[in-house]
Amino acid sequence: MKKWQIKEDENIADILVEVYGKDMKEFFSNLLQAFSNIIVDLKKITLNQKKRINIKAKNFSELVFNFIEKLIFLKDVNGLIFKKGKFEFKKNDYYILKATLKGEKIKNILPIKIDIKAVALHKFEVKKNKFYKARIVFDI
Amino acid sequence: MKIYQFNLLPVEEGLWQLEKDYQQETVYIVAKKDLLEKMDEEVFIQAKNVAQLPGLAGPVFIMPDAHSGYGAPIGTVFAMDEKEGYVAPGAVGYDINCGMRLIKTSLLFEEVKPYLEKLINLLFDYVPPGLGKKGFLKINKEELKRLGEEGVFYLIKNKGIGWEEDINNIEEKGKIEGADFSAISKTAIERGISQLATLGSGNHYLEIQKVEKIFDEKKAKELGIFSKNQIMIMLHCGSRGLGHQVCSDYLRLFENSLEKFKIKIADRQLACAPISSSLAKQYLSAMAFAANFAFVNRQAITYQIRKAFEKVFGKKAKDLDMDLIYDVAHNIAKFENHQVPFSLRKGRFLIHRKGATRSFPNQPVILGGSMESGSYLLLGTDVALKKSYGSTAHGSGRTMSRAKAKKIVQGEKLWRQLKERGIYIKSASFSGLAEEAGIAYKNITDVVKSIEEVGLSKPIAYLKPIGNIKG
Repeated sequence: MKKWQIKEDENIADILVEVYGKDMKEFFSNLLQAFSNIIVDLKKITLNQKKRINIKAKNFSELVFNFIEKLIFLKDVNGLIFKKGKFEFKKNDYYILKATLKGEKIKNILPIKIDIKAVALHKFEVKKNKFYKARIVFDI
Repeated sequence: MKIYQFNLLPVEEGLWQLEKDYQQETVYIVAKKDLLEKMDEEVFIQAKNVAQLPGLAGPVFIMPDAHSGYGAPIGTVFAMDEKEGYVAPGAVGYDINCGMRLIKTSLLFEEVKPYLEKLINLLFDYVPPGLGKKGFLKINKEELKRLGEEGVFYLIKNKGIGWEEDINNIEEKGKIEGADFSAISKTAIERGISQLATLGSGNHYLEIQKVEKIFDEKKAKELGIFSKNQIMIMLHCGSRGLGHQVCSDYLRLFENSLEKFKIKIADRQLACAPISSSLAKQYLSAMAFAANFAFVNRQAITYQIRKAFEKVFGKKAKDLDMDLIYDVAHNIAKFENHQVPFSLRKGRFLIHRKGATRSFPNQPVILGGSMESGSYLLLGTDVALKKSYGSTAHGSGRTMSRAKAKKIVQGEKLWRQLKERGIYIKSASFSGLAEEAGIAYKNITDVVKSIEEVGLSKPIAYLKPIGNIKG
């Protein structure tokens, strides 16, 4: 199964990407890599920086959205970009994601291919059938 | 005329009406036929969705440089009644007050040519894209509050960044009223502090241009443009991560409130709320804050541009006549007095302009083209007030996806070709350069002909790039 795929002709000004995963852990790992690979060359990212994150959401779709927003924040404010993550999930009244992300400072792996500035609600869709699949438009 | 599954009825030369197979307001499209045919299908679908928003005061206008966006097409203008209408953050856009700024110089092309590479390299150092390298201006939370609430005036008066006379040449004098720091999130604050005085990436740029053609000599002289080959500097950027975060934060709040306000919309990105609601008021305060941050950002970058010219040419920026010609937003919502086009109704409306520029009589309008085709300085008109809520186009408008452009164009080859043509580019990456190739955009001259034909703006000068910085 593909990890992710950029849908070339479905969005003119920005980037529409489909992300897949057989389970939640694989899905989030692929999402993390798709995000980082749009911005820099994924192969260049070493694992010398570590960041623990906690994300809470009302449903799975919102959890995915909030996770992307967190990645944007960590990139813009902390200058961090990630390649790998260890993901744990809990579900009570909320969906909870606890993750340890590994990557490095973005200034060490220039050039930037393109910057992701926001995740759009437009066309945003997360589905679970046999596997997890999300359609995400990144504003760049 | 039929495009995709849509019927377009001619209203006058260059103005079309989208045939109504839906309730609510009419959609008018300003475009010559060939530009109309270049618009992607989503433009028409999204325009119809916009025309079905609640609270519209009159028709929706689509500009000739339109292409599909999120919810509303880029190149959309509409009016909401001040009291009964709604505000839609998605129809302002993520990059609140993304806009254009034009600075003049007294230098001529022949004087700049020998120093062009040095100048562009220095500007690339002075005005970083923002990711991987931060801007020169370090501020704390309190300063951000004052910059966002007081706008460019605070930057000039308290930080000494810019000239007092600059303020007169900025839309709303660089300060949209009603900005409130408490309306923006902690995340927006932190993204703003870390990205001030940076250019951003994507289609944002800083360009050195020469005057190629003057159409209106009298008005050009009034604005300080005296001759062909005079050097200009054009800047295209916005409110950086702060504006994006404001839009993201409020879109989700608005989406969650749709049920409460009993609103049905065709696209989540068009989530809206009554202007009279506290949620809408909060958004407008946050939007004004982000808009002011964008004005401040362009002002801070102007300071760096002047510094770079001073260093390269060994003269004070004042002696190089580096005055601001104008700074104008093209992603914003503002309360303005208008007469509804094709109607006798007059009133105060919240005008949403997404990828569209204010075009009031005698006001400079800046249309940025691709790094290959050049740009235009134009003048707003009375006709625009009557026909399009005082609005016009904002640039070229994409016709090709970024991925497709990268397949067709090799960034490094394009860089060499442009250099041979006398356009020196400094870009963060060759792939980013390929995405912004001229082939991915409509011809700016066709856009100008369209708006001129309908009377929305009149060209003053055509400006050709000689150097460009891309984030």
